Amino acid sequence: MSEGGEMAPNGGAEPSRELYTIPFSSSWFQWNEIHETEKQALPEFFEGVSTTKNPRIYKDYRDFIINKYREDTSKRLTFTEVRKALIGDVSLLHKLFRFLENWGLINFSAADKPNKKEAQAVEMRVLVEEGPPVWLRVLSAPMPGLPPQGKPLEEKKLIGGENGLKLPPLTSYSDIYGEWDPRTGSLCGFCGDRCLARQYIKMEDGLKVCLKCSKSKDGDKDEETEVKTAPAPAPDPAPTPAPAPVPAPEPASAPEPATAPKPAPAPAPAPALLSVPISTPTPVPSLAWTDSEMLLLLEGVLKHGDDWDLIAQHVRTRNKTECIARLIQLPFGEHIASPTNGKSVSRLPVTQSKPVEIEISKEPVEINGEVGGLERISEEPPSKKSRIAYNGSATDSLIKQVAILSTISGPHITAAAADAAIIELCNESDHAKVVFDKSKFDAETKSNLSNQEPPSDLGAEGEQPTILLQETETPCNESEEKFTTTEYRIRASVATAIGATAARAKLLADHEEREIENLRATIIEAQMRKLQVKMKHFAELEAMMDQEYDLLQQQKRYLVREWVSSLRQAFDTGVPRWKENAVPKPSIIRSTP
Amino acid sequence: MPTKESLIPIHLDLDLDGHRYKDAFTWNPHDPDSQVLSFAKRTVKDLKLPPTFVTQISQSIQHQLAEFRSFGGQDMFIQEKIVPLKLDLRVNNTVVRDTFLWDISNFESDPEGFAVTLCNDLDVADPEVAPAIAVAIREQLYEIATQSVSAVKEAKLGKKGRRGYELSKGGNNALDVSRYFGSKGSGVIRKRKDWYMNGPTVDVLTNEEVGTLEELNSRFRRKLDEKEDSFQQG
Repeated sequence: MSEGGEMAPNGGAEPSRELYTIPFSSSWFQWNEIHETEKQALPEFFEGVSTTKNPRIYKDYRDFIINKYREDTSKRLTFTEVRKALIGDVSLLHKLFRFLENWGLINFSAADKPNKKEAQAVEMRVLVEEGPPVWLRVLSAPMPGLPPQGKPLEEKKLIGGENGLKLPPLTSYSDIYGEWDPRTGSLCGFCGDRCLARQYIKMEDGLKVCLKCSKSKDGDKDEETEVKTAPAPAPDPAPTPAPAPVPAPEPASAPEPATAPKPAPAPAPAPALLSVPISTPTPVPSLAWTDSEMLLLLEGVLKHGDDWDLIAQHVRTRNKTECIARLIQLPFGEHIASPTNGKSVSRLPVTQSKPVEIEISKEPVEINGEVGGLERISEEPPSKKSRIAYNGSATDSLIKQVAILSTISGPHITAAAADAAIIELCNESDHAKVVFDKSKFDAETKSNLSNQEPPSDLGAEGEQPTILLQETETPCNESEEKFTTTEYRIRASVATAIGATAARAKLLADHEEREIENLRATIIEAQMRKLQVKMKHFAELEAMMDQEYDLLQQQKRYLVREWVSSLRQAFDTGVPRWKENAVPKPSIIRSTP
Repeated sequence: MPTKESLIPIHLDLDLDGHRYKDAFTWNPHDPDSQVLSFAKRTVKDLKLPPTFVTQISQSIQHQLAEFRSFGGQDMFIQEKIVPLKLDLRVNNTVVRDTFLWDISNFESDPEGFAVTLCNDLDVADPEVAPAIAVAIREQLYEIATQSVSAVKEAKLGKKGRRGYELSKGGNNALDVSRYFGSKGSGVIRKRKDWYMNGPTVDVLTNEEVGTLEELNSRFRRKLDEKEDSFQQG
């Protein structure tokens, strides 16, 4: 479709011959005829079925549209301009319009409107967005009426509702935690290089730009540089219309709604760029989340579940969208942030066991959270998805489950399970043995504890494990707080919890079975009673029926006797003929002489 | 409904406990009914409405769905009928007014596509306008559909003599197509002076104008309520 074919317009209508370009592949087009292509594409006009669609009308529409476009070939003709001038079904007209446009018969030489989809397709090559937020953002079209410096700047590619689902590139550990590392500093928003300490400038919306990039901005950067940006900061409507390059504040002349992202830099004029005032770093919090912020965030999520306002309050330095974005980026962040979390909060009161305050259990959770944030990757990822069937908190996050589990079991069970878990860990690795000072464990305690059914022998076992546990605690406390130590402790505690659950689950199962049997027995009893009542009822009915039968028989006999006696009387008195209907004739004839 | 996908326009306007919730959207009738409840819950949660809204919302949606489903049979649409549709709606700060013709027998008609094209062509900044337009179009189509269905039902029940009368009554709002499309007609191109009447107008209001509009609306509504009350009492 590249060669520019030329075609003369209807010479008779216009005095001067102007040449319009249409693609070579559309050279079948003739003013005076309707081509096979058109007939196939728009069969509604040619079926001869309806009064409103016939070839003549089609030709009128088509010619009108093409002529309208040719009034000004550089200007793009929109469907709306056309349809207000034509009478007919707008859907059909739209189809026709699109047909003409696709074949290049209109809008071929027109300047392409910066179409949202095309701009994004271009930008996808350039911009690598990390972990975009999970909610949909419909992108707004840039305004063509803006002054040239407000020309559409670079658009941040988010999950656009109109473009269909474009899944974010999968994040990896290094992506997320790479920038966490406080030693190496953060990434420059433009060139992706590591910024040397203090060698960056914070832009108005919190993006860090290394000095190199801030100084040398050309229009070609969007083509060549691969921009690696941290998650989108909150879209603050900027007060100044300064057209800073890549993600800059939006032009003030277009007060977008809060969800509109920043526009994209198409070839931005060079002079406009240099006038950017970047010298002073603005007091916006840096994009890298510190440990304490992460801690607050996780706490907030656990406490408030799905309520982002409260979470944002909890993490004081970040607003709602940042929190959400950050959480999504974490591995399993989506699971934490999932809506089922909200459900778990409401289900907690359902747990029948004593309502231990979550605040109290938060202490171990906090510690777990901070370290567990890093550990979670290496540790049992599938268990997060596994459903532990107990007391309704099946879909919680891992940490929450641990917390809940630890609260619902009794201390003896927990202790026994803890020891069993520790034993298991010790069996796994030598290092763990050192950590837990395995030398204190005897062979007999091992055999005792490997039995995971504590309810029966609680008393006997409970003492021993608790003593041993205390002993093992001390060496742990003495030894240095190494990374691996805590790792094992965490694993031990998790295994503990799971073991405790298993015990409790068995208890519950037994209880349920017994209940079921009881209920079954009651049901059967009730049914039997019902049947007996029915039988009695039927027996009574039978008796009544018998009585009535007897009565009827009696009456029958009585009637027969009466009849016989009245006949005899009639005989004796010598009545010659009977005139009654009730008496059967043949018998009367015989009896009368 | 004769469109590419038949979506039902749903209209919600609830006012409880001082919270006012007004919304319009389209619903896919083939969605399982369990979705209604989860949608209601999600909405209440996202907009932080009091939980009494959940049942209200789901009831309202189900009521409208049931109404739609009671209109079975689509054979009334085979016959071609071009009707004029009007748009007159305000979404946040944008006011859209428009008239255009729609063929209700065209099974490929696509209100959503039309709305999106309209917003693109007119450079409407607000992304909420296009869905609102689509909903408005569907509502009108729905009304026309129900009218024709009930007209046909009445015709069946009534006598033969009445049938002709009913049908012509229902067809009045359709365009007199023979005038335009007949062989000797003046063609389908409108006169230039008529163009502005049939084209869309889009206005962007400032916040104060929006405020005054809301004021007027609420005052009007209050007056209506008062009138209703007095009517019921009297």
